[in-house]
Amino acid sequence: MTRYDKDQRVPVTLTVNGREYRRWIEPRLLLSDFIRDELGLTGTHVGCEHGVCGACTILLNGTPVRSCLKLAIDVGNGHITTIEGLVKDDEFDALRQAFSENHALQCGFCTPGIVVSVWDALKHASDSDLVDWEDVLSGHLCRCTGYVGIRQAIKALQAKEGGEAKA
Amino acid sequence: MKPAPFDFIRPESVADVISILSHTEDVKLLAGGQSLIAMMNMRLARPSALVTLRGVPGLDAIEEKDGVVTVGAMVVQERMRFMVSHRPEFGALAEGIGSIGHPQTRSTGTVGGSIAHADPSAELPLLLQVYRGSVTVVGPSGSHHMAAEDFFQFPFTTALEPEEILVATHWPVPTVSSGGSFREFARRRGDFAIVAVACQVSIEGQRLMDGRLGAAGVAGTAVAVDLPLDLRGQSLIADEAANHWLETLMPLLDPPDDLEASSDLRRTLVRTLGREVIAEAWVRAGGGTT
Amino acid sequence: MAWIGQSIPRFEDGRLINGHGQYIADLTPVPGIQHVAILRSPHAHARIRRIDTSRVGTVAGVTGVITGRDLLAVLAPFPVGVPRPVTYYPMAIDRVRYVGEPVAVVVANSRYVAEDALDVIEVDYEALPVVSDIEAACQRPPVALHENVPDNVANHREFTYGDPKSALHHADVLIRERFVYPRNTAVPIETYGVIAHYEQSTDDYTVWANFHGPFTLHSVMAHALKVSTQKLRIKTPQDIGGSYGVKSAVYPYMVLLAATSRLLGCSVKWIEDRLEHMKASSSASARISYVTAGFSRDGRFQALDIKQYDDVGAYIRAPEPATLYRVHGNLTGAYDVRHVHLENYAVMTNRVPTGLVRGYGGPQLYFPLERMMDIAARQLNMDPAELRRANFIKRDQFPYRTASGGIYDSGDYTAVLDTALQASGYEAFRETTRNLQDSGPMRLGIGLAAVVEPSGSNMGYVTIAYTPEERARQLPKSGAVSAATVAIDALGGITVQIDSAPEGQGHVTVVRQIVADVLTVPMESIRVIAEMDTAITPWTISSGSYSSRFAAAGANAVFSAAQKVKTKLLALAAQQLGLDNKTLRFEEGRVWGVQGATDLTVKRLAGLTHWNPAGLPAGISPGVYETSYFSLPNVDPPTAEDLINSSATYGFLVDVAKVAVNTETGKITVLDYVTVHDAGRLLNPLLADGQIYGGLAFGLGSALYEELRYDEEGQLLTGSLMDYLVPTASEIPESLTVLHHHTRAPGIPLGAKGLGEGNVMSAGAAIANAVSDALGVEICSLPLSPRAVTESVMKKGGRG
Ligand code: FES
Ligand code: FES
Repeated sequence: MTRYDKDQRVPVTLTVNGREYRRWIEPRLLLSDFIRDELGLTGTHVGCEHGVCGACTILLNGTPVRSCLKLAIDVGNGHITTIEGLVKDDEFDALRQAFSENHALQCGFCTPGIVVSVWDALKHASDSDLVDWEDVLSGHLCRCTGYVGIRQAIKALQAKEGGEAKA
Repeated sequence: MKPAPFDFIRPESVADVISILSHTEDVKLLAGGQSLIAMMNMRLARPSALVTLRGVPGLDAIEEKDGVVTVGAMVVQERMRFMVSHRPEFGALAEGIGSIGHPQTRSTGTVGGSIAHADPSAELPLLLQVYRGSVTVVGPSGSHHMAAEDFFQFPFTTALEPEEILVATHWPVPTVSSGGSFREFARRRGDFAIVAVACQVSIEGQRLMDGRLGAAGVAGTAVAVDLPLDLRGQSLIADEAANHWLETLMPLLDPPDDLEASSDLRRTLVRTLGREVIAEAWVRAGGGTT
Repeated sequence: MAWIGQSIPRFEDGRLINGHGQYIADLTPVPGIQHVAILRSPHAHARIRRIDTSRVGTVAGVTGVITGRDLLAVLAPFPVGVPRPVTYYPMAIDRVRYVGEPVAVVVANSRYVAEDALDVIEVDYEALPVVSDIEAACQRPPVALHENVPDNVANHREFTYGDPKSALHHADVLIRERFVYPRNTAVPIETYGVIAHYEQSTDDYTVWANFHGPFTLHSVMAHALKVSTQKLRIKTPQDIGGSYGVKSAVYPYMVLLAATSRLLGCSVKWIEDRLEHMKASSSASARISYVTAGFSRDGRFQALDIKQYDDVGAYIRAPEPATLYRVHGNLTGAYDVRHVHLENYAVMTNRVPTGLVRGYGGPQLYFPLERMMDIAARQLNMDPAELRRANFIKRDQFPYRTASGGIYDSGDYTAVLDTALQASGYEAFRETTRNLQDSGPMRLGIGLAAVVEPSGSNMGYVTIAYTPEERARQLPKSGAVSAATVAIDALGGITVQIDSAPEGQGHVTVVRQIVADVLTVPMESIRVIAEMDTAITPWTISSGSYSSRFAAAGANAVFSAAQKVKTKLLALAAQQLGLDNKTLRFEEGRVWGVQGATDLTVKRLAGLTHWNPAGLPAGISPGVYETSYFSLPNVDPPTAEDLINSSATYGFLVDVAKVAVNTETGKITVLDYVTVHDAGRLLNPLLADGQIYGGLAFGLGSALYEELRYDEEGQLLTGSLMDYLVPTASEIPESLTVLHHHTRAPGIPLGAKGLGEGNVMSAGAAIANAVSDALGVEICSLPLSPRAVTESVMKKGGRG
C-alpha cells in the first residue's frame, strides 16, 4: 500500500502519443491539466470540467474518456492518445477532409474532442458492432454547427469505408 | 473548478482498502470517478483522502457460475454492456446500460461505482432490482451477500457501513423463455432519467410464470415489484393485465416535483412507459400479440 | 475564376482539426504569469459588512489578494448607457447584487492554489430583500438596488408613431396577450479568458481577451481604468472558441484583471470556469411583453401596441439597454403597419447583468409578434400563412421605411413564404391534421414564423434610450463602419488584416475569396490576420463580430481595400507600359491590355514599389499597404421624432415547423423543419448554411430546453451543464431543410446581407405556433419543457 501526502509531488509515467513522459505531480492534478500544462499539448480543450461538454475527450488505453474527470495520478502507466497523436496517423487525412468539406466545425473548440470520439467509433465500425452514432455524438456539445455538418462528415466517412450509417 | 487537496492512497488488496476505511477519517473510494471527480472539481466533495480501487486485484472480473453472472465492482459499464448485448436474455440490461451517460463516460464509469453511488434516478440500481440481483460486500468481519432491495436505502445512501466496500454485483441469468425491456424519459440523450422503467418476464406456453417491474426517478431509491400472484398463468395480451401490474407498483412511488417534471407527470410517465415495457418484455419472451 | 459565391471549405479547418488552434487558455504572452481565482457572492442581495483576507497569505503559493475597496484606488465606475445614475464596478464594493458577483480576487502560482485560497477568505454578509419578479421590481419594489433609482427602472421610454390610439379604437378585432421570454444564454464551449499586464514605468495596460469586438467598448474600459485610450492595448488570440455575442461581456473582467495586475504588480491570467460562466458572465434579458394588435375584419393589421419589461439584471451594463432597441427599426416585423405605440422598461433585478446573446433583442420581439399573428389568424378564422401574406410589405414597396424609422432595403417576402410553404408541404399537412381524429395522446401541429433579420447595427440606435432632448445635448452617434488593410510585400506575398475577430464564422476563408477575385491571384498567396490588436488594427469603434455584420460590413471593407490595391497597381502598370490604365485589367495575376497579356504581374508591380521606390512615378507612393474604411449606407443618428434605422440592411426568413406533441408526457418531437432565407448574395453558401444550422440549433434550444432558472432568493437553479440543457446532436431533428432566395442588398457593393441570427429570432415562435396548433392552447412562454406542455394541456382541460 502506498500513501502520498496531499502536498507531495508524485512521480507519474504516462505514454502520450507514443512518447513516454515522466513528471512529478500533485495527487490532485486533473489529467486534462496534465496534458495541457505539463505536456503543453493544448489541442485537448477544457469546456466544463464536469464531464458534460466532451471537449477534453482523449483516448485512454484505446477508449474515449473525459480527461477532466480523471486524475493524472490514477492513470499512471496508461497509454494516452490526444488529438496531436491522431493527426500523425496516415488515415487521419480522410477524417480531416470529411470534416472540412462538410463544414463540421466552426470555432473548433469542441472539435478535437469530437474527432477523438468519431475516430474511435470509426475504428470500431469495422468490427461486428454497428456504431450508434447518436450515442457517440450525444457525448459532445457543439454550440456552433447544430451538428448538421458533423453528421454529414460521418456519413461521408462511412460511405468511404462502406460501413453502415445510422447517423 | 479544481479539486481541493487530498492524500492519495494506492492499496494492494481489498484487505488494504478495508483497513484504510477503518482507520481514516473522511476518505472516499475512487472507482471510475465519473460522478466523484465532477463533484470534487466543483468542491462539493472534498475528501481528505482518496483511495483508488484501480489495480486492486479481484475487482474487475466477469464470471458466470450456476446461472449467475458476477460482475466485479471495477468492471466498466461499457464492458458489461458489450458482454450482455450478445445475450438476448439480458436485453433490458443492455438497453439500460446503454442509456447511462455516453460511451465516453461508460468507458470508465464502473458498475460498482454506479451501484454504490445509489442515485435514485440511475439505471443500474433499477436494473439490479428488476433482475433480482444482489451484491457482495466485504468489511472487517468478512464478506456477506445482500439482496438489491436491502442494499438501496435512501437517495445516495446504501446499507454499506463506512468501513465496508462493495466488491461485486450478481445478476441471475433469466430463464430461456424470458424477455425484458427498458425505457427511459430524459430531456436529452444520455441525461439522467426523469423516469426510467424496466420489466422482465418469463413465460411458459403463452402464460406468465414470473416477472418483475420497476421504476427509477420516482422515489428515494429505485422501486420494483414482482408479478402479482393473480396474473400468474395469465396471458399478457390484454391491457388490463398490464395496468393491474402497474397499479401494484404505483403505491411505492413518492415522485419528486422539480423543474423538469411534476410528481404527477412522473406518475404518468411510469404508467406510459410501464405499459410499453410490459408489452415489449412479453413479446421478447415469446408471447403472442393476438 | 470567381471565388466569391462558391462553397469553399475553410482554410482555417486544418489547423483547428489538428488541435493547433490558439485560444486564450493556450497563451503565455508575457513571462511570469500568475493565476487568478475569484471569490463570488453566494447571496443575490446583501451588504458586505466585512471581508477578512488575513489568512490568504498562509496558503503556500499565493501572491496576493484584492477586494472591491482596493479597486477604488485605480478604477472609476464604468460609464453606463442610460441617463439614470447606476454605479457599476467590476467587483462589489460594499454591496453584492447578484449571486456570483465578484467579491475578491486571489492571485497565486496556479489556479489550484488560488481556489484553495478562496476557501480561507471570510465575508460577513447582511442579507437584503431580493428583487426577482420583473414587474414587481418596478411597480412594487421590495427594495431599491441602487440608491438613486428607487423604482429599479434603469430606462423608461415611450414612443408613438402614427395614431395608434385611434387605429386601435377603430379596429374590428383586438388581440391582447401577455408573453414571457425567458432568460437564456449562449454557452460557448470556451469560457471567458483574460490575461493582463500592467507596465508600471509607462503606466499602460496590455490585455489579452477572447473579446470579439475590442474597439466597441474600448473607451468604456479606458474610462474605468482612468487612462487615456492609447494606454490600453487589447489583443485577441488567434482563435476564439465561440461567443454568439456573450463574450462581449468579458470586458468588466478585462478591467478587473488589468487593475489586479496593477495593484499586485504581476501579470495575471484568468480562465473562467463553467460554473462561473453560467452564474456570472451574462445572459439574454428576460422580457414580459403586453401586446395589443388591431385588425380589420378582413385581416388588415392596423395598429400595434407593445409594453415591454426587460430584466437587465443587477446593473445596467453597456451596451444595455440595447436589447430593447436593437430591433427598434424593425419593430413591426414583415408587416406594413403604420400605427405603433411602444413603451420600454429596463428593470434591474438581483440577477446577473444581461448583454449580447445571438439574436440580440430579436427573439424577445419576434416571439410575441409572431405568436400574436397566429392568435389573430385563429380569431379571424384565417390561415396563419394567408394572414401574414395579406400584411407583408410588398416587393414594390422597397426601400420601405417602417413606422419606427427602419429602412428595409430590399426583399420579396411573399416569394420566400411561397417557397417555405411548398417545401414543407404546408397545405397537405394542414389537410391531414384537419381530418385527423384525436385518438391517443399524440397531436400534430404546424407553425410558421416570418422574421425580418437585421444586420449591421447602426451604432446610433443605442442612443434612442435617451429622449430627443437628452440626445440633443450630446454629440450625435451613428454609423456602421469596418476597416481592412491589404498589403503586398516585396516578393508578392499578400497579407490582409481584418477587424472582425471571428469565432468560427470562416472570415479568413471569405476574405481570401474576395481578395483573390479582385487581384486575380491564387487564394494560396493570401494570408489573413484575423486577430486584433487595438494598437495596430485600424480604429473602428463598431468593428468586431456582432449583429451579423461581416458580410455586410467587414467583407466590403476588404473588397474596397483590395480595389485600392488594384487601382494603385494598375496605375503603376499604365506608367510602366505607357498605356492608359483604363484599358488595363488583371487576369490570372497578370496585367492584360487590349493586346493581351503583358509581363507585369501583381508580384512584379508590388516589387517595384518596394525595391525601386525612386523609380516610381509621381502620385504613386512606395509599398503596397492600403487601408479602407467602409461605411454602411443609411445609418443616420436617430431623428428628433425618434425615427431610427437601427440596422444597415435587412434579410428575411420564413420557418415552418411540424411537431408531434404527446399530451400525456409533454414530449415534443420536431418532425420536420424548413427555413427559407433571403440574405441577398451568399459569399460562401457552405459557410452561410453552417451559420444557419448553428443559429437554428440555438433557436430550437431556446424553444425547447434552455432557461436560466432562478428561485425566489435569486439562486440559479440551472447553473451547470447538467441542468442548463444545451441540445446535443440527438435533439436536433434529422429532417431540416435550408433554402435560399437572393435579393441583393442594393446599397452594399458585394450585395450580401448578414445571416446566422435569424433562426434564433424565429424558432421559438415557429415551434410555439406549431405546439399551439397541435394542442389548441395558446402558448405564451418558453421553453416548452414537458412540464410546461403538460401544464398547458391541463389548463385547457380545466377550462373545459
Ligand atoms: S471539459 Fe471535460 S467534459 Fe467538459
Ligand atoms: S465548432 Fe464551435 S463549439 Fe463546435
